[in-house]
Amino acid sequence: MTTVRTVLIAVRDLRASPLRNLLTALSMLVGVAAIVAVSAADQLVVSAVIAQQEQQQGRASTYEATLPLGEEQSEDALKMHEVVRGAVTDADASAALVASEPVTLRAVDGAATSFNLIQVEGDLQSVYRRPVVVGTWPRPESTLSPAVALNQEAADKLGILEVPAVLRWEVTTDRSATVVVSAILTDGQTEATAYGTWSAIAAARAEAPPLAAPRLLLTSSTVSREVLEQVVTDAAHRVGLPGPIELRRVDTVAETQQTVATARAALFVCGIAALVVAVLGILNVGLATVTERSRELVVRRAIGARRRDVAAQVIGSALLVSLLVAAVAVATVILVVLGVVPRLTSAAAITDPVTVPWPAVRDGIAAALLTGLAGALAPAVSASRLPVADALRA
Amino acid sequence: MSSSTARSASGPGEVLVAEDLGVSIDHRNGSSTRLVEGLDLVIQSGSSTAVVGRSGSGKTTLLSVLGLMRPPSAGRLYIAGRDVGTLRPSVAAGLRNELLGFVFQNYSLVEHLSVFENVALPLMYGRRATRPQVRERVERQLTAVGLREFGRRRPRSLSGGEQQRVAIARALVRGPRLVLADEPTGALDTATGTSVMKHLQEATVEAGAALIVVTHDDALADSLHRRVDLSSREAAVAL
Repeated sequence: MTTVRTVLIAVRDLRASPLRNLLTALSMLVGVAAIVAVSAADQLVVSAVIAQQEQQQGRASTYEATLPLGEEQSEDALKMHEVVRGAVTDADASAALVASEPVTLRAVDGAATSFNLIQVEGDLQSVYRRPVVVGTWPRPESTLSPAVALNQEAADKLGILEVPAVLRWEVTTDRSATVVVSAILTDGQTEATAYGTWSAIAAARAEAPPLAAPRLLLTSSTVSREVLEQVVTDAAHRVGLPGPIELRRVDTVAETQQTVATARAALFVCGIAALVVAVLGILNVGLATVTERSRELVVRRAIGARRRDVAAQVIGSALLVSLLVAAVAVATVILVVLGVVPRLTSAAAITDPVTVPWPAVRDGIAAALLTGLAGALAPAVSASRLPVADALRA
Repeated sequence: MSSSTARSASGPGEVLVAEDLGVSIDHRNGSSTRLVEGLDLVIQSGSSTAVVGRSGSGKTTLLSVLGLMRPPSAGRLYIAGRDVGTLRPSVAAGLRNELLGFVFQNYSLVEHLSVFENVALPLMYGRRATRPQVRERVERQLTAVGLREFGRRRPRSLSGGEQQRVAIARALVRGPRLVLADEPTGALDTATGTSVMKHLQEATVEAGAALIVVTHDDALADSLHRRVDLSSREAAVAL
């Protein structure tokens, strides 16, 4: 019997007991939906929640040290950062020095507004997931005005719709400097924030800027915290600071992944339990159906169906129901992922576009087909063993 | 492929040949009951044969042997010149589909299929038929039994006589060499039964097939060309 005939017979078989098929599908749907949800949630957490955490707290394995330096010791802080960067570059690690100060900025013909200026030295993008949405930052050194980047909140406050844009920075009460907004980046903060490299800020201020409570950030997925601590302590000694300097972990990726793994395991166990129950249900209904339809099945045998044709009919029907269940589960997940998730999440927080969770689709179809197959095998064998001579028994 | 072998002595027009055929049923305790012994029978195409006998004499069991649903316990059996005494189940299924048509006592139509789909059922197995071929053959058979307009209806919406005519159309749709009917009028009133038998005989003759009917009905048996009486263990064949 060809595949086309098998499919045709399976489709027609759905008409045999529509209510029973519907109930079977519903019992299967719970488990399949759980499996699909586990898979889809996993992807969403990775693409949205962890991305958001990397944006705000730092990428996986990010450590921070608050340097015991006064504002006037900015040169020491920069030197220490340079030493650390030189030491970790070959060890697949990144370092950035950040400090912040309040500044007053205003757009041309605009009112002066207070902002938090993050002073950056080093590779901020390797430490945080804060992608540039528009423009370029940091900008290569040039003779043009010093460049800063704004977050979306700051851009909105200043009415900046496109870059580059020119700003006035009230450097002191009697002096202002021109700076260029070269980029808008997404940092997930609700506070208006500007970002500038140490050299750009120094150029704007016409002097070395003070670094208030500078923080040294290090990210590495391969180097241990102890090794990084030793690197930072050695660097501190090089600039004459007392040690040791302790690093504390600031990212929450590992905790989130652990929570997700626990939740995933719990949901997975629930899903498997639901599928096992569904298999038993399908098995029960399948065996009852074979008994109920034994007359029809032996008549089919009498008029030419082979044992494997009858088995294929039973399995084909179950797989067809399974595919319908998978389609419903997958359609629901796609609807939720594409329709609901973007509405529940801040546009500034999500950095990766929400896409169809194809692994969840794959897992849902596989779970449904395996459940259907497991539930239909025994009934199929039972059906194929019905004695054909019973066709002549009234 | 079929494991059957061609019978050298097969004559022209011979659809079924039984030589010293024995039929018995095996019980679970290992014993067996002999129902038919030493049956010699030659069925020609276009002929009709009644199998009669008291209840429990083995009429239906003999029909299941002739219908390749169980092997004979002794002797040899040929259908369309092929030795079909011992066949693998899949080969027997193929030959049933290709050479035989069945009409059952209680119609045995598939309730969730339409009349058209029921008649087309044998074409879902065995040699592949294209969709136009299926339509043409089914419509031809439905026309022959006077049910051309009933193709989309479900069996339960038909009368008993109409359902049995659908079963006849199903039995003939593959163009069988031999039609086996088990009490085809058993569930029908006399008038309807007579009409259905008339249809069955005419359709079988028109198809060039032979007909074997198991029946309790003497009048029906008398209307056929000959009878096989299983009242005693050694079957008697009478013209």
